[in-house]
Amino acid sequence: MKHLTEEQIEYSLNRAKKIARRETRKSLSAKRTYHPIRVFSRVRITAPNAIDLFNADNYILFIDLITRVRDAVNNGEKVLIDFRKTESLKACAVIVLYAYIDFIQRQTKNKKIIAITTCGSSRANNWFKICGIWQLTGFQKIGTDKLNTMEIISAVAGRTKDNQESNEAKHKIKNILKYIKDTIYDGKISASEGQKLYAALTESISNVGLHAYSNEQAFAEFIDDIGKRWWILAHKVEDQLFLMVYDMGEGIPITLVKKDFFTLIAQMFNPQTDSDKIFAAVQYGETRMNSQKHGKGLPDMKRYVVDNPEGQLHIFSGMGRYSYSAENNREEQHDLPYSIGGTLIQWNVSLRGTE
Amino acid sequence: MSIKEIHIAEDFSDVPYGRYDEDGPDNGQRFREEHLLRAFQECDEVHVYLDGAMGYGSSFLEEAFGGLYRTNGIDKSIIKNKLKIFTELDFLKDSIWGYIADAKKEK
Repeated sequence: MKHLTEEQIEYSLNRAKKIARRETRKSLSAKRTYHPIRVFSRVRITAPNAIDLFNADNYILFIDLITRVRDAVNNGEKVLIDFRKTESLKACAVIVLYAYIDFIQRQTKNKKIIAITTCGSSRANNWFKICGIWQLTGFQKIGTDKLNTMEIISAVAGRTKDNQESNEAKHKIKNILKYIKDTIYDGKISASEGQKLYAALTESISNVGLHAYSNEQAFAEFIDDIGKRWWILAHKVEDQLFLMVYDMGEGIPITLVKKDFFTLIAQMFNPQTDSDKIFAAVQYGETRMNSQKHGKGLPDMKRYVVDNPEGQLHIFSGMGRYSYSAENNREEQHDLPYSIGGTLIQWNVSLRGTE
Repeated sequence: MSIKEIHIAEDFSDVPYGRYDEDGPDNGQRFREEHLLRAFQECDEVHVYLDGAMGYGSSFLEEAFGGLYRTNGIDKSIIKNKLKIFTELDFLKDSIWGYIADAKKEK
């Protein structure tokens, strides 16, 4: 019979204990069923401490939040989003959250499907108030802070049959541009800067109509319910403008590979991940190799920030993020674990020294 | 000599954007078909005034002006002789002439 050393015996005992613990855990989790916490007739879903897309951990928590909300609604539930632990908010995530609530309300034709609590800080409460989330959810009807932020606005892209929706979209674009120029820039925007702002904003909206929801079969129900919709938020913090456009379409990485010029892009940049594809789309638009008709929108979007000392452009699309910083003329790519569920374009522009 | 003046902001839209109907209501294709094309067919000179509108995106300008050659087949030399562009922003003028120069006929 083989003699075991003391170390071997101890190792075997420890291993047996670990196996036993693992088995216990497995059997417990198999028995565990999901019992959502309810507040009256609503499922309560707790929002994270920070609502943000730039920090990797916060990004995951945010996508988890909107996924849980969507899943609960798909299961026929009404939802209460509990923001009492939420202390910090970033505009980029706020516009996506707003769009999801708006989308769910339109899809279910129920303005009361999602209710919310107050947030964990007065700053976060103020944000929800001025960007329109309180108004949207019926939490509190309130006028916006006319100085720094215009409520998030949304409209549909393209020319619609009855012209009513397209005229409404045109009117909203005009209003947001007037608001940015007159209120955020305080009228001190040069003709050239104004032109670049206009081109950046309208090219991103045009892309929504032409590319984002181009798979009309896959988006048929979505387009019927809410149209080829975009959302815009303009916000001023101290002397910086944060401007963003979001759509819930297919995203640049998916639409890009369907284009006839993708063969050329593949040869030039060999993009693999979603962030590679966004990067390649931006690069392609800036080369003289681009086709006459395609790839002109992204350079227009970038041009608005290139000459600004603190200009930044961020494009979240599919499972990737592209960021450009004018300060050091640097481009970055980030691969994301989950999709943003469309495309979010954000411009950060310093208002210092604008005339 | 007949001259057609087109003030985009007044005669077409002060919020022109997009290439096609899918992009926006007052798009480049519609501007070309409803305003530019007839002016090119009927007049010796076409004067286009850009100022007054809120701005212009590349898609609108490329489709409106590049499309004259690409889609409608108007010879580039004729476009060059007839078209005069008026704007305070020289880079917009340069962009338009660049789109016309780069345009290739649709097969």
